[in-house]
Amino acid sequence: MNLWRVLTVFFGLLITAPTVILNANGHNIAFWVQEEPETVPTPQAITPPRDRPEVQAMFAADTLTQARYIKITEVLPPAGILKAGEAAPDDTLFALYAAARAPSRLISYCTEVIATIATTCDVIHTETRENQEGKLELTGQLAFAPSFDMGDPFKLADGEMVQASVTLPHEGDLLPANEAETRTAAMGYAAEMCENLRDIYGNCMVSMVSFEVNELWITDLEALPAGTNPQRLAVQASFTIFADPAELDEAKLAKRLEDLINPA
Amino acid sequence: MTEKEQQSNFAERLERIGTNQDSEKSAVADMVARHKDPSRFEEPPQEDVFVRNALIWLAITISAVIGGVYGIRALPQDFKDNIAWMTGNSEEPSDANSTALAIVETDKMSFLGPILASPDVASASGELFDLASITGNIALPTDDTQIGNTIPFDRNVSCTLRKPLATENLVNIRVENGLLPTPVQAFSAQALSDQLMQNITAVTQDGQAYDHDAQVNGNLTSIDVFLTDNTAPLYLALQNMGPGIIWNIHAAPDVTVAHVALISSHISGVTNIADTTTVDGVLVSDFVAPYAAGDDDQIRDCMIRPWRNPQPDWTGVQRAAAGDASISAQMHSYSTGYAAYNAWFTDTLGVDAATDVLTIRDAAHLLHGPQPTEPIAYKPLAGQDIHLMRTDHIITGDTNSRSDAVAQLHQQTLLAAVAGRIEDLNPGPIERENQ
Repeated sequence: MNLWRVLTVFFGLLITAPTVILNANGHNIAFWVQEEPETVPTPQAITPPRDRPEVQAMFAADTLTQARYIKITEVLPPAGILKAGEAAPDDTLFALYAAARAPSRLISYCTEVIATIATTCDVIHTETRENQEGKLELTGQLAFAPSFDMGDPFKLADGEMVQASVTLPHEGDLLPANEAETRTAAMGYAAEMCENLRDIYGNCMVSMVSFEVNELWITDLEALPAGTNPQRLAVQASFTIFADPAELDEAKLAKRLEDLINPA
Repeated sequence: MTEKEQQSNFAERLERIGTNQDSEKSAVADMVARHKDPSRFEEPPQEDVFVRNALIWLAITISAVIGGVYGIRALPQDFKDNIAWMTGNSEEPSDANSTALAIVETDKMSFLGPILASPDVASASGELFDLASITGNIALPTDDTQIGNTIPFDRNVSCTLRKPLATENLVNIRVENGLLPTPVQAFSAQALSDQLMQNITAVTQDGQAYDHDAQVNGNLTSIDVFLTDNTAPLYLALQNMGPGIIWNIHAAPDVTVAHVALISSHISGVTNIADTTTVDGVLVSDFVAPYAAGDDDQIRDCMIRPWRNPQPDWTGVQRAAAGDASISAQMHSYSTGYAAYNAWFTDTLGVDAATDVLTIRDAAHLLHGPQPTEPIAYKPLAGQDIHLMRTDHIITGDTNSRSDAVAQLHQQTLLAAVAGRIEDLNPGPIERENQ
């Protein structure tokens, strides 16, 4: 009788093993081949927010990090990348010229950034491409150190970073013109929203303001006053709060942002 | 009921009770007796099913073994390798893998075919010759050889070449690399732009310092081609997959080269040809995008990438035959690529791409035709004009001057692109003045 029981167990394993192999990936199979000794879960030590790199990167007061930036885009005809009076290079070189000149062109937007929400600003990433209309698109990320009061996220003993985005409002049907006034107003508005959030949650960071350039068609312009800037801006802002996840999540933050934009 | 009847009934009841007590005593006694009996735990006798059970287990065993064997065979190789690793058997490769690993490359035979450095001379028949038995007064080129002029010719803008005439003999040569150096570098403005774009992107997107050493060089190699077939004017179809090659033609005195057709993956050229020899050339990148796995699996128009058909002596082919699945896939790509190329070749030149082909991976010297009875005069690269596919930048001279010229070209183009200083690729931060 004992022999039959041993055989039953053995063949049971033999028959089920291929199923385990065929249905498990290498990680799943590892437990089967080399079972880890059972460990008693121990309470995880809480890392203070100040010692968490991702929190530091988002809320560092004086340093530039990739965690928060202004995303700026320039759209221009290929010849627009050349300096006044500069001879056009071979067609194969326009993309190279654009890539090489993008940092020095886009850092000029930092003057607007430090005029509104930052004490320091730098270009940390640029990309260039030719769009469907044959124009050059230069996109840059401008990292910044905030000049507004972000509160103190490090007061909390523990928490998570909660992030939500919102499209900033504009007046009228037409998107605002791609001009310095529009950009500075948008960044100022984002900083103001962030200060409102800080008052509620104790801290807030503008993690991104993105300026997307939309170009009006000629048919659109015909219906508009002469001299209307064909480049319009759609602005989106992201905000990050360090909070107790039991009290705040992305949906709640998004709702709060909508409420700030459209007060009841 | 009378008193007498009552007494009678009572007597009967006493008797019944007495009888019941006796039977209960008997039952208790039986129970006690059974309890004291050690054999009470024995199971009731069963039917003998040993044979039936044995047959069932035998069937299960056979099914499990057969299923296991075929199941494991059906598993992907990497999965089997993982299992081997987990069970600690990874250091003992399978028979197929151990056979494949036992096939090693040699100095003259590589994964992708023969490598024959100087002074070996490869021939279409497969026979190997020593350079000294083919030619005399040998003066091999170096990186610093002083050549004559470069004579650029326009590349063919269509993927068509003239067919060999019925009166011509086709010399069909297909290689990957030439093994002799040359003092020539050639590359397009697009190649220069691509290299600089890569360097700039590393700064503007990855935050690295600008790497001035990352340069496109366009170095050309060369191969000596000894021609001894004097039975008809020759049509040379010179094909290569790797960096550009300058084909140095050494024709025996009674040999006529009518036409040279270059089919090349990079800017290539030909030298030591007669004034009457016509030259044509197609550049792969003019018609075919840079290769990615599977790109050339289908026959299509203008598929001029000159794949070589895998041969049994390639170690790659042998390892594939020994069961190495990943190498087998690579060899399959070579075969399908060759099939696509052969379709274009056959359609364009009117003969199969395997016709009298002299194919080798890397070579320094090639012989087409019978072994010469007397050494053919070696025609050095030195002082010779070179017919070269036209491109934007052709740089010749000694090693140092070429290196300087290439570096200067990169620097000039980069500075023009930046329109200022290279430091402008990574401008410093801007700070608020009143901080």
